[in-house]
Amino acid sequence: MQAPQVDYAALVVFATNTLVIVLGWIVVHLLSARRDREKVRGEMLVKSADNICLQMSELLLLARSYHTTDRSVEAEQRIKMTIQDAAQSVVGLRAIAKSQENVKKCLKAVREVRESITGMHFEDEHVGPVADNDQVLERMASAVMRAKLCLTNLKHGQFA
Amino acid sequence: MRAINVARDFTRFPAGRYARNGDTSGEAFRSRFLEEPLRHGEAITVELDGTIGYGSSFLEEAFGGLVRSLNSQPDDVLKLLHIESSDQSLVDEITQYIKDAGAAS
Repeated sequence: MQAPQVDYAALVVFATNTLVIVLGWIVVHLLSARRDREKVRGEMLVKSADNICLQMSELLLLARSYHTTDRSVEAEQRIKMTIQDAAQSVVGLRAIAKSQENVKKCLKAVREVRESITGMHFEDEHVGPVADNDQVLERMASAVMRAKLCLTNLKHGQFA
Repeated sequence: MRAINVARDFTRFPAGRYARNGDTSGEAFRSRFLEEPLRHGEAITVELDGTIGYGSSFLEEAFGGLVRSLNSQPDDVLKLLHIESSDQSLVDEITQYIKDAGAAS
């Protein structure tokens, strides 16, 4: 009885096709995984930036109330903790943001918020409520607005 | 190099500018931990992490006040003073206060 003949040409074609299919699957899988990671990273950054924006709004209200009423040590501590939390959240964005330059700008903006709220008429220098048109209030509002703008730019920079 | 951790060695609740208004103020921190070593040319590391947060008036008085109280140049203070914090904005702010205090004097 004669042994069956192996069709080497067909075998090579089969092996090549299989290899192309496997390599194609690997490439598609890697690209898909990368796209999913990018999507999650972008969503995480947007969510964090939105949360910091909310913190900034609440901080402005809290600081405005603090400066326009009698001194409150509890409010001082809440203000300092909120600013510290916001700064730490911005620091945390370094790990996921595309633009480190934008993160630096946001951190500088948070610093300006801290200076505007706690640099004057704060703690032992709070000697009584300030008027509604006081410069301290104007500076705080401007600094918070700038910080929120920085955070918005950071968010939008993800999709540039 | 001497290392001072504000939360461990001073207070977790730093507050206020002037020592007459409280012993957790910036001035109290400066006079208790910073002035003497720096006057003798000793390098100091100040670790800021671990407190509930800082007010700018505390930071200005503690660090900007060093230039005024020692009557020294900002560069000399910055050579000896090393600030550590996970929040880079605090380090930048303190550096700026030291430079500004030099420019104002």
